[in-house]
Amino acid sequence: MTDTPTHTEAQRPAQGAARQTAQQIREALDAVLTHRYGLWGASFLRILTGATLLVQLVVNFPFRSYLWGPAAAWSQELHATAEFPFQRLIFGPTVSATSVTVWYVVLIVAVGCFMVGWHTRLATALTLVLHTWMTFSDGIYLDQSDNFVRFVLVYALGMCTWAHWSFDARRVARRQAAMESGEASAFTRRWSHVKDGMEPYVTALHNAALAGLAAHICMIYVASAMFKIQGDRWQNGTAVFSPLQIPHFSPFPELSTLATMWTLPVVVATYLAVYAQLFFPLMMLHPVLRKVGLVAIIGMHASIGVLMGLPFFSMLMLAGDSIFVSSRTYQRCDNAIRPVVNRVTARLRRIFRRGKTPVRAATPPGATSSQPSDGRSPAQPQAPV
Amino acid sequence: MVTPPQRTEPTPNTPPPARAQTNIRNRHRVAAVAIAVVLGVHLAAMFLWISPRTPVTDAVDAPLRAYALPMFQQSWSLFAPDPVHAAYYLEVRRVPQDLSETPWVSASAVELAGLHHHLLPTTATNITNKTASLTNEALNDLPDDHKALFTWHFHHDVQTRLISEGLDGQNPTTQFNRAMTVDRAVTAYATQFLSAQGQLVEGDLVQYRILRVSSPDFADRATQGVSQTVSFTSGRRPPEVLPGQDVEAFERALEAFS
Repeated sequence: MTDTPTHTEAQRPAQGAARQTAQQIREALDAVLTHRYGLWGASFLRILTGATLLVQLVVNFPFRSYLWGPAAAWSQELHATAEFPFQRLIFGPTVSATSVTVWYVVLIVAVGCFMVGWHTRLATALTLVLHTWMTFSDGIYLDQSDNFVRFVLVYALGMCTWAHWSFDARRVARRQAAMESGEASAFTRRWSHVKDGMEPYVTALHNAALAGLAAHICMIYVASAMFKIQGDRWQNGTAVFSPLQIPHFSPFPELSTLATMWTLPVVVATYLAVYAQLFFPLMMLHPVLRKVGLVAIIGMHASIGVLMGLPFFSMLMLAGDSIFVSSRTYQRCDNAIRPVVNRVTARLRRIFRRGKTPVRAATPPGATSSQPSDGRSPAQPQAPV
Repeated sequence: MVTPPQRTEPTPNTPPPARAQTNIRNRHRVAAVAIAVVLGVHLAAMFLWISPRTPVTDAVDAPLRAYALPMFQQSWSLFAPDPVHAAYYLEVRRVPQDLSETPWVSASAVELAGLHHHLLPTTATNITNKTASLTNEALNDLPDDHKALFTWHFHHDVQTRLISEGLDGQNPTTQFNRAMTVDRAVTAYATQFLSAQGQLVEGDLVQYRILRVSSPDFADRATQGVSQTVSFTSGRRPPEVLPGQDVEAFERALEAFS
């Protein structure tokens, strides 16, 4: 077998490449098991989605029965197909007014908890279940904002949306401080140990959910653009004109008239809407283009929200887009806002005679504390407030 | 609220730390691969579900629907392929016992009062628009001769007589049943609306019609305004109140629009 050594030599580079690939895969897997990406964006997603839902629920409160209760009993036969079991158990045209009101208030509370990040995972699940139950219960009304928020909440269930600007974050900081000072109870220590064991799984789930939502939003935008370019009015640059003439999509007729008075803005807005959506995923890959893309999308949604009278749809879409804003931008905002918040909080505490200083942060077990972009020293654990 | 530091988020200035800093085991890696596979399958399904129709989506339509509906239901028909350029509005009126003409009242206009010049309008401003669109769709699914039956006047037993007199006792099609359901619902809405407005008195009948409000073409905007055409006018119906109807809550909702 004179050719054996030659054959082995030929295999060496291939084996080396295979080992290198295996190592790269291993490192990639370790990265998604140890690093939670986009935590700031996920936290802002929680706040904006929660705030939008909360305002929408409050605005709809006087109409809860007309939409999802016995005032809509006239529509009870329109939606015969049941998508979910017990679809009309707590909301719906055949349910009592008391049930609708009680569960509506529970939903408001759940959304409030979700927004401020108080027992966030549970609040997210409760919001998802109740919101889905409510919106599917009626005979006729289910719009795109309901659909969008539903699958955002599905992804948010897997994400660590509580990581920043939340009560859960404060609770973790307190627990960590107690652990490090040795003041934690035996139960807290045991619970922390269990949670530490779950960390890699939770981290992987967070990253997957975040990537899933990002990909889903990109697909929505690209598909939406592809649907649009099939239409004549999008092709000839006049698409934004038509809806703004219909009273239902023109809450401010004066603004609509102004916006569609000249040809050039109509054509530019029409094409910008298509291009911003079509190239959205590509623009997210480059730091400068990402800013351009996000500004274009924000402009598009702001226009839809105000001119077409769809503010909740627009705000929810923007909440989804917020995961594409870089963590550094959020950290800068946090650095700018936090002193103001701390001053206000301190003043309020003085007013209420509590007079304690706010806790900054503590490092969870096994985690590496992040170095803020402005060069501040990493946060030190402090005593809980 | 206070922010505890989380696991480091890599930024251009903070690359991920080395693997040696972690305590990752193979079972964790297996879990990560499993999650990645599930995510990949889910995103592939979503890609097919969201994309415009292709032969591939047609081939996997049934399993795709089973997976995506109802949780990932969506529709972009408001904006594409052509943006909305028409809306359907509901008008109702009472018909006294002497069958004299009374003015039409726009139920949609009442809802629109809650939309115009409101930055945060309620979701409820769209109910009659949706109902009118549904009615229009249901009636347009019928052959012309069957659609015409819904313009007949029935002062009692509407659905029984639609079948016995209109269809000569033949079994109604699914589309006809759907149109009867919608007709009954809109009649019930008209009854509630007119009652809430204090217009309906004992012995009155009710009637509804669908208006199509459409935008002019961009090229004609200087010479044409928004057009309104009657898309459908129902026959006269007896007032209809479905079980469990909360009359007072309906009245309160209408008052809240103004």
